[in-house]
Amino acid sequence: MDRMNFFLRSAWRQSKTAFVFFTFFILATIWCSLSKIEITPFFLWAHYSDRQSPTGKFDRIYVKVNGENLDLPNISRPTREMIQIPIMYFIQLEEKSYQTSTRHILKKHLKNKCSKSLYSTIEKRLVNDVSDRDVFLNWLKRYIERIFELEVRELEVGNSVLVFRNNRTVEKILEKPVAKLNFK
Amino acid sequence: MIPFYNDISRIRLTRLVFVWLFFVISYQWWADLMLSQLESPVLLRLDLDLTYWIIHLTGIGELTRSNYPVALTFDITLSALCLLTAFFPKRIVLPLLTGIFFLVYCVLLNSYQCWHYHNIITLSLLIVPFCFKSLKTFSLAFTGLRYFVAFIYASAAIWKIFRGSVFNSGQMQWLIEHNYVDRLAIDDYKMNFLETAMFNLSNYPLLADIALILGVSMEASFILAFFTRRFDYYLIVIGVIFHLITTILVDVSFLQLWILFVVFIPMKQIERMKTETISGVD
Repeated sequence: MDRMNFFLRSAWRQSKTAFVFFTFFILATIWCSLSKIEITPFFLWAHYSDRQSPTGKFDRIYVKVNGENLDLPNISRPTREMIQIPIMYFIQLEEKSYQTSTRHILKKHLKNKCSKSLYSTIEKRLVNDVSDRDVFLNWLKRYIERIFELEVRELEVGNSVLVFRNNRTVEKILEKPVAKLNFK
Repeated sequence: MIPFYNDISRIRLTRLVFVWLFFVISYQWWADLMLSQLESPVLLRLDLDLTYWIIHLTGIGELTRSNYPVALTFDITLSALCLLTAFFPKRIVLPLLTGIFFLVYCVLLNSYQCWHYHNIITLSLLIVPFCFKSLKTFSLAFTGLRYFVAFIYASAAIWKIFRGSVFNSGQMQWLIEHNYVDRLAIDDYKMNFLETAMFNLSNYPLLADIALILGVSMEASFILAFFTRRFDYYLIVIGVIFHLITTILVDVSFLQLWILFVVFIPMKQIERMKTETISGVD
């Protein structure tokens, strides 16, 4: 038998420092799991554990370059997600007027405890604000041009709704633009 | 009981782990995901992860975003460090530096990707045992890591059981549809044979539900590692099969994490590697 408590007992015998480290790591991991807060390296491994019901309807983002839908499924997943997920986050930021949990915590715990200039530096390093809107779209243009090797003259991002038809093909039933920029 | 590794086993493990890390970084170069290739990203998502906060507060993120030569130097240094550690496994400073550079890279990438992915950053923990000079501490840390890897899979199963998703009828159908909907929305997208077969699974909800229960059982089997080492080889096989299936079904490969299964290689096998090295096989 090689139980975890045997391991901790051996660790205690071998090195008190190692024992303290392992015990701290285990307790911190348990605390983070119970609080559902992730602080690296105390990860939560809860992917795909939310209950879902198949409705055949999915909210998705879309990207249009020069009036055409960008062919995202044909590039590798990590690269695709470097385009897709920041757009999803951008749309969330636009909807929430850039008021995120990070900004909220900063305001609550730091705003009155440090100087204006220090707070402004911290804020600049940790959160985005509305002035990043066009800067983000310009970044998206550059990154898409790099990946797809094309010239982006017009860029549009937004929400769409995709539904499965009875014959298991997919139809886009709604497209709602969130931001558009012309680079001509 | 804690298996104690000797010098040669440790060298073998160091080479294996850091060559793997080098390949992981090479893939990131290929996928245009190194800091110098990100074209000065704008958005960053830190949530409440204080480690992310600390790293960004140092200003390293801002520096690599606004200064291309710095970002390029960072990327090249990280790649070189992985190789140097594999070539000079006894220089303790090298894994230490690799660990720091690797963690910073993962935190910055995840922040700019606006999602805190675990598929690479978890490898930072694999580097930790190699940062200790003493073989005793290395052995302790490496054994501790075995429990951590078992925890990853076991807790993934426990989350699904506690939240009830594993026995939720239609859950797997939703997962498959969620994964395939973008591809199917493109008019001329041609699914290959495997994609077609896997997507068809969503047409049979009962089969899809059984597949999910089997998958979660595979994750749950890692609980065994907390009680015995007898099944460690089987856990490697189960882990690899599990990831192959998730790659096809839900497009989540976690291929980069496969090196974590090295903690389940029995001590005797590492010793045998040692004998082979001494007799000139390696």
